[in-house]
Amino acid sequence: MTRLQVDVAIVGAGPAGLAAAESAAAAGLKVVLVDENPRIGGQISRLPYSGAPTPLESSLLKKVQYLGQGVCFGRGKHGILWVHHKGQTVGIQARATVIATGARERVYPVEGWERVGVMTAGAAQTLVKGSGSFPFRRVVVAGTGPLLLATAAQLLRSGVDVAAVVDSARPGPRHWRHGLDVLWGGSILLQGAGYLATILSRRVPILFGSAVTRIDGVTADSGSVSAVQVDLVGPDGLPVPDRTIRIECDAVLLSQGFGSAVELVTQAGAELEWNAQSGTWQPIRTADFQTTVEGLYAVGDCAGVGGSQLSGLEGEIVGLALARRLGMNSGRRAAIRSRWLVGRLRSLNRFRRGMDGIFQPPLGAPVSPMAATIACRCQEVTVGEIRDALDLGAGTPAGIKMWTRAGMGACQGRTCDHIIDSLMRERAPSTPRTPPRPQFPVRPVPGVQLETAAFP
Amino acid sequence: MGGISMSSRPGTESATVWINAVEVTVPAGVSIAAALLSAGLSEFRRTPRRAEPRGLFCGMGSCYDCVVTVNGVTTRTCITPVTAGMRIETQGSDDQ
Repeated sequence: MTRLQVDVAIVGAGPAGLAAAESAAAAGLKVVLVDENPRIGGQISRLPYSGAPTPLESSLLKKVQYLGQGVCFGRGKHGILWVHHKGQTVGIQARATVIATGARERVYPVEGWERVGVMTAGAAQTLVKGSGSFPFRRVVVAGTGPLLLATAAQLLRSGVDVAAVVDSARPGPRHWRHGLDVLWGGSILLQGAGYLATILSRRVPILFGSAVTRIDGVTADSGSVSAVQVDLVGPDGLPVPDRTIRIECDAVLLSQGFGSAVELVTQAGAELEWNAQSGTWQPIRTADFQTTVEGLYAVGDCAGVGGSQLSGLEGEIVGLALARRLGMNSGRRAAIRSRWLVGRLRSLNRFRRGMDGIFQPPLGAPVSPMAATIACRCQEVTVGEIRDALDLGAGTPAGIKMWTRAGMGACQGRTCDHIIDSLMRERAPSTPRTPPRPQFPVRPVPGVQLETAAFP
Repeated sequence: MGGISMSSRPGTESATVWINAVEVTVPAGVSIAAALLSAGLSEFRRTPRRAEPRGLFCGMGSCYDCVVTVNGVTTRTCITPVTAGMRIETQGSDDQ
């Protein structure tokens, strides 16, 4: 077991964590940065494992200690951060801790979604970016949100055959109302226009107001993907009759919004608030991004999904705030820089609200799932089993977990938490919202690595 | 398998690994998931209840669907680089 003593511990080396590490280190603080991945950058960059370090990596890694492939499994007594790193347990004692664990894609269940060949849009992008390969012949990209068009365009530009883009959004008057807000996004908007141009110029059909309602396989029971059934979805959430089409493909990429990764910050005791617009729980924070736990900060997508630019700003702001808090004299330039960053943050937040309004993710499946559809992938619990449990009185996610095992698998509910919530809400729309209560350890780690001192 | 492949990228090194006790040459410096897919293997494990095949799903270490046994340790293939000499086992039901 190793012990580390630092000024600032940062979990997550994506845009927010990197910016926090950079600005804290620049102020002279001793920083350790932890990430499950071998290289820095987070989900958006996905640097290939081979290849020379980038200039950012080289310069940053001289100033901060990086625990790559380090799995942070919780915050214990005395605020010690516990990390499983290369077979060893590391206990980090820090004067301040920054959680920058980002967000993950949300997928709602559809019949056949457990077949091999079905994956998130991000998984496909990572394959292409990280390995230069995508060994699937023909893909359908489905769901909603800006990531949908971005993924389709990027795959097309990499030479992948995209059969269709299926978007459950229905462009309409709502979009004009949010249009003005979206203008604050600047260059992000131009990127979006570029994606659309790529898709349209290659004559890939974009099916709006539609959803994949079934994924078929090479064999009926468990075969990998062979085709999808796509339905036009009416405003009532039901498929419009006689408008079903079938598209042959061997991969289906699903992307239906994001959920913030709040497990660590919640296990550490921070209070959460519900963000109705994005349909996620996020930590309650001060202007300096401190959570309700003294010395624990949260920045980036884990505190509310806003994208990489916004995350980078929050990271830099928290780094400067920590420099002030921990007594490093940052001076006038830092104060001016802080004020500029906060101003820019306001613009980007306005853009984000506009985007949320336009691309309103469904806070449930676009089409209500059938009973035989898997809801919890890890434990193979069906939608029907969860509905039965709800009928029998299992009124909370914990109750459903006890009854059906849904949420009890290796992913600890990361894949099915929003699914269970949407099934609960389908039965009883006014169910009060209870925040998740993840227990230590928040990641599976080998038992021999747990030290009794670690338990909070 | 179709799609785009790594062999179209010049200068890609390879690594020799053991997949289910068979020696296989895969591209080096990529994720184990990418390496398995390039070797024509998309089914990485079987589920405990229904023994159904699973493979790559979230691609970011969140879902634990892509796990295989590497050198005796349950490993998320999507976020772990492949290295020469790895002993990878994909078959059988994996109880997490």
